[in-house]
Amino acid sequence: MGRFILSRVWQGILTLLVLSLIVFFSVRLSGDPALFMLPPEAATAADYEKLKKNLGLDKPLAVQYVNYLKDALRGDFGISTVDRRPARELLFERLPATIQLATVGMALAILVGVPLGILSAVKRDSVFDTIGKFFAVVGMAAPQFWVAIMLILLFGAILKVLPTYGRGGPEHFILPAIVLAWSIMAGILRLGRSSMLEIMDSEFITFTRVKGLSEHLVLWKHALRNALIPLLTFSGISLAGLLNGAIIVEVVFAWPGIGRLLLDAVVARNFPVVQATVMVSGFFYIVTALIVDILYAYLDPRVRYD
Amino acid sequence: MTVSGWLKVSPKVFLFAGFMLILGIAVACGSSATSTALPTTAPTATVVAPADGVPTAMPDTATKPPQETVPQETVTIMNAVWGNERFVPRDAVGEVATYGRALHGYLVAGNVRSEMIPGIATAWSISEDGLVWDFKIREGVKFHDGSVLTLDDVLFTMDHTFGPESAEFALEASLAAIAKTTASIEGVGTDTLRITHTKAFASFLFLLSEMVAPNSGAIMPKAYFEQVELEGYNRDPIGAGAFEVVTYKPAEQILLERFDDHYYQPDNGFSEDRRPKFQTLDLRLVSSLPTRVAALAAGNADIVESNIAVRNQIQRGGGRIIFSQESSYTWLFIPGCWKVELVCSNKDVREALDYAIDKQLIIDQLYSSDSAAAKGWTAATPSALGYSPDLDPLPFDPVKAQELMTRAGYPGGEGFPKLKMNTWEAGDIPFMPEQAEVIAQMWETNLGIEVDVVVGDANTIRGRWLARELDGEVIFRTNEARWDGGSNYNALYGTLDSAARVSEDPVLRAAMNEAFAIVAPELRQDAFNKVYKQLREAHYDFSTLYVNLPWGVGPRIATWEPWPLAPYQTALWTIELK
Repeated sequence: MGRFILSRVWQGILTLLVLSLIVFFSVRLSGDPALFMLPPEAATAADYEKLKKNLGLDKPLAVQYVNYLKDALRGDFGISTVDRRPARELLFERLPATIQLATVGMALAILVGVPLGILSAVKRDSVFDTIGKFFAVVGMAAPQFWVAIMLILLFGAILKVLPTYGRGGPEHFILPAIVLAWSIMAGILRLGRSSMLEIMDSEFITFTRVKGLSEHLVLWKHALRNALIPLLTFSGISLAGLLNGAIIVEVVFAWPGIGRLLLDAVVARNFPVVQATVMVSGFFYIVTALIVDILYAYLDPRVRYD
Repeated sequence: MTVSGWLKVSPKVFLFAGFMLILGIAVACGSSATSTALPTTAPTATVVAPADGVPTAMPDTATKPPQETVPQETVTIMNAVWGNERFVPRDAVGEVATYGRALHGYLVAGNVRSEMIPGIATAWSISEDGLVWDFKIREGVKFHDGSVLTLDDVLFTMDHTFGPESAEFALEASLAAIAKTTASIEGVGTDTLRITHTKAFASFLFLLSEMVAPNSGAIMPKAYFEQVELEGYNRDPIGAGAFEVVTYKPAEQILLERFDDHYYQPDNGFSEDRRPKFQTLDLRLVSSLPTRVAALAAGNADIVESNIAVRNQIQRGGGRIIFSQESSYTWLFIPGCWKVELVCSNKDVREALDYAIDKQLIIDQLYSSDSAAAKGWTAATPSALGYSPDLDPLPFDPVKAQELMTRAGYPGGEGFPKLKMNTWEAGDIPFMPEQAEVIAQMWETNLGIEVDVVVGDANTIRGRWLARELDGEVIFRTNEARWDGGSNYNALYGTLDSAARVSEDPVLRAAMNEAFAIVAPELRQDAFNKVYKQLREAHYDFSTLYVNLPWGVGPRIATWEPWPLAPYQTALWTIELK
């Protein structure tokens, strides 16, 4: 297991390096950063040259990349071109809002998705199964922005029972968390159902029944335990995705998280903030994937990483 | 039992524990976000004087009861953008006036007629050569911490905003440009600020007023700034405006309270009381238009930045529209027309393009008569400096347009290269891509030329324009209306090394420079009118229309009279609640 973890950490570092290369060069491919940082209405050619020198953009690309990497390793992603604040500071200022929403959204997805998936499998072809399928199809097919606006109009503008935007008390989490969770919930439901059905049809479940175990024990002890394993991977990766910021939900609900920060930074060509956000998001993703892999090894004795 | 063994036998327990942990964290985090409760007492407004008697920014703990006549109500205003959310004038860029005008007191005030009137400065004078400005500073103006504004505060702020450091570090381009031509900032006697320039800058007074988008005329308390430094000030700003900041949550909320001691009130000799008629102002940043409209209908907001496209939705939701007149205008130009190889170097072509556009049809089909109008020439809209009716757009005249094209050597568009028109979706004027498509169709029909409309993003197009990659292509964009478009036009016509120049014509440059050097207020209308006519005649740029910004207003608001020429909320003291 130790070797496996070391190998995955090494892979993670390599992935981050590749990500840093992609981010660094894609920023340059979209245009000269100095051009975007200068106010067009007032800038002169001399201003442009001076800015390039100040930012180190007059050096060869390879030198620029090495400098960028050195700074990034120290957690220094540069200064936001929009407000002259350290990009790292901006990122950490917005991170709590994203973590709050992602956590609630993920909890909701699991708490609703897992039981519904099991119910759909156990009561196969029943009305519960049909409802579950419908719920999952809508969750996967309906665009998030549409669902968000419809929910705001219904519960905020028409029924006036929930706030329409922003952070605040627990009631402020309800609509954004539902929108965020719905598609993940649908994935968990479908995956849980199919996984449960597969287990229920397997020989070892038939064997437990032949042994005379109660249906309760068969279901909850033997079937569910095995059916949950694939869900772990899905949920872990979904959580990593949520932590990377849910741009649509954050924009529609005026939620000040890193998704909105990234969107604003891209629109404003605020390269240091774009680089910081993407790198930290990549880091989250890799760490989450690693944790999921380790948990998987614990939960499934058939998995032999060594 | 080992951890591994425990996990293997009890996945349900493990998952359950995980859920509980997640929920616990979420609830804990969630509760921390509810710290927006308003203070139960009014803000402090007195000062503790240290032994040497110099006022400091330390607030007293004593409280002052709120005035009984002011309703203890909150007005919530939602904006789509807040600029870069900096409170220090030197670094505030973009739509910062949305909060700046509530927080700050400005050296020069304004009014609904776009006149510059005394604010923190009671009077001003300009030397004959237009280089030396003197401002007499008002006595008794208070900052939100209760400290009294002095000449020292003004000198400190002006040096921070226009001094040598600003030339190097100002994020706002116009401030950096002025800083480069500022020779000195000094006090004369005990109550006069003197600023000396190396080059006359006609728009300087306007830039010091509350009527311009950057907060460049705002005054900060020196002692407080020195105590908390730059970042401290940007987190917890203090100004001399009609509202003081209670809570600031980046990209989310600025909660402000009425400042009872705001200087602009009858007790200080003013005929108007510019203190709000409500206690709390809750500014919210909500970039999504549907969310703002829904919030208005739900009663979660009182005033929302809106768009003519959602007018019916607002009205169906029980709201109404109040317009800020002349908030933005469309602007059409072709960069690089001084290059003889480009077809636009021929004035006939430039005029033909304008004559071929039916502006009234665009207004009727895409906008409405109360939300848009085809009047004025680019920034010289009817309420702006330099306007006269003879600056109104060229009429729709396809026959004349065709004659001009023939005279330019392109009869029926024959031999005319395919034009590319770059535009983007803008927040201040809806339907820009649609308008561009309509214009392209009109040019194709009336001039026989082919046009490709390219809808991109604002920053990319601006960047490419600056890099001279769009020379010969049309740029069709929006621009914020303003009373004094001088600095803009100086960059476009009066400065040869400006990347944004649209002309290199030495005659126009000389005319622009001459007009821009005239600083005497009584001469500026005529000077600008004269040069605008010259520039319009050359026709390097023109506009199709200007728009009035529609604000969605909820049922709690009885009246509100926003000023023209401002795409952000103004005149908040005119808000009256039902």
